[in-house]
Amino acid sequence: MPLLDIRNLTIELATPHGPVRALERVSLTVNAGEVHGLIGESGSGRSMLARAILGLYEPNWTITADRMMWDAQNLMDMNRQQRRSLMGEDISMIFQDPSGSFDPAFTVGQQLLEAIPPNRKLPFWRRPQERMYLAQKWLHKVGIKHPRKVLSSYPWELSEGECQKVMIAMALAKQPRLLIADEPTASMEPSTQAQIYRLLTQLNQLQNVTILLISHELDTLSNWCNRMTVLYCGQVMESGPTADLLEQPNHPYTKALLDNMPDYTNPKIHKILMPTLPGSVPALQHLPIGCRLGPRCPEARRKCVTQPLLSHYKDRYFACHFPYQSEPIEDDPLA
Amino acid sequence: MTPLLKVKDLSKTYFTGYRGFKRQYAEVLKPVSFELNAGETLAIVGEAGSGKSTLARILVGAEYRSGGEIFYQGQEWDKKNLKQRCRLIRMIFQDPNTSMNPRLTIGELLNEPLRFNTKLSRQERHDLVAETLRKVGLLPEHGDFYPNMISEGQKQRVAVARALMLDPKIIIADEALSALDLSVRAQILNLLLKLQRELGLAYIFVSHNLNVVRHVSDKVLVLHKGMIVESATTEELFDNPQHEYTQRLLQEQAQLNRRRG
Repeated sequence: MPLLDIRNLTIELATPHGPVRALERVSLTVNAGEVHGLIGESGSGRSMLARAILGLYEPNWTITADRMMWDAQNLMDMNRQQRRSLMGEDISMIFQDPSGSFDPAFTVGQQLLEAIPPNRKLPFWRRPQERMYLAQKWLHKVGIKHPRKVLSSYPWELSEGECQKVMIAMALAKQPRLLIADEPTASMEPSTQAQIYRLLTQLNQLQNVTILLISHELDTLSNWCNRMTVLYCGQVMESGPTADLLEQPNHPYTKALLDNMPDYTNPKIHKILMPTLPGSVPALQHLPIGCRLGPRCPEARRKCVTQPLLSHYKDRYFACHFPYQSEPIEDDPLA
Repeated sequence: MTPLLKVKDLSKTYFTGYRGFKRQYAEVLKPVSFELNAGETLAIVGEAGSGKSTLARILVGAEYRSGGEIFYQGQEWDKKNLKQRCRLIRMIFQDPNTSMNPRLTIGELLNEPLRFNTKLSRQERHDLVAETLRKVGLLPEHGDFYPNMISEGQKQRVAVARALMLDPKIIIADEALSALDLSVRAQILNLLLKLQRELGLAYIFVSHNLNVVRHVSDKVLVLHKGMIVESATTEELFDNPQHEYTQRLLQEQAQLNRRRG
């Protein structure tokens, strides 16, 4: 039973030039207790998908989906209040740019305490003390050395890595079941990056938090995820266990991504040109019909003007008419 | 053979205030020396605050040095006037989205260095802009676009074109690739490698992504707290790191990334 199961989610943006499908028939399955990576280039709708899961819609979005199941409840059928009660309680999110998403006028402690629910079982005079204790406990848990000092400091007094850790503590304070980390390590040093990722994996293992990790760096992400989903231009290209995906990519786009990582194992090919896809990512106003990789795809044929359905083989899903495969498969489109 | 660029004991100190009546200085760059030949790529790696950006900024002329000497083809760098200097060493900036004037079209943007540094006529300048755009894989028609109309990868290509405009010998890329997506990064890397092959450019790469550094550079300089802790050819450095700090850097990278092969 997957924790989060999204089928054919489409988000249309109302723009002055008519509606634009920013996400087209996206399916995503996140099982409980796993670290799921979501990879895509900038503008591929990763953050939009995350916000759709959380329920933070912009007024110009039109959302349609076959189903958006959260733990056997359909998110599409819920009213605003129910969605709001899930937000922050069961699903919480770490936003991009940690130091920018804090309020600079309040101390980190005030903002963190806000996220910690009061314990109703205690008499009211003991609650503030209890919350203070909890705040320090969480800060300690995410690896901050001087919790008291950090609690009384303002966001701009902390480094980016510390801000990110406080952000994670804030997201975890209500013990969510799903944590969405949107580019948790953008603009960070490699050593801090490794620290943050290690922290997230630890939380996943010790607290049993399911994590949806959003990033554009395939090389770092592949080390920390159990499964991943590759997005391109608002369409799902491929999804599957990380090791299999890297071993034998089924989709041309995944293969291209892997080729784009510099390979230095062979000294003879030092400074060689890397194989890249021609052209660039299309703008939202000029999206191609059918498979959006079509114009850049090395395998594209006439059939690619219709969008391929996400097909399923063993543990892997891919949306391509002409996948790279060694074995023949029976084509059963996902219900 | 004299190296294209030779840097000897380059250092940089900042004034930080007084202690008593004594002026205090922070030493950001302790004496640094290296050589760069034509057609070579030198990578500078190190963590934040190690002085790698300062070094790049001094070389490009955005900052004054506090001591040491720079030789260009055996000549003293200071003997050349500013215009000559900024024609020979150009820089590619980190973020293509913010380093371009949104009010200028790409043609005007690329025209500017020519207008101020050369005596070419309007028509000649226009032709040169079109030619450079073609060199970096764009169309001459892109000259009429504004920066907001093109994609990020194309913007970075424009940034490369801008660096190429005055026919430099050395291009300094200060974290020029770290803000880009994987596929765009590969495209720009390919472009830089192609240009190096065709024009014999020398690059100075400032980066913290060791994977990319390992792929493109010939020599690597490891900076730590303003000091060169290790300087070796790429193969040597990655196969057999000598300094403890380099070993730690490589280890961190290996931990962060999937081991290949």
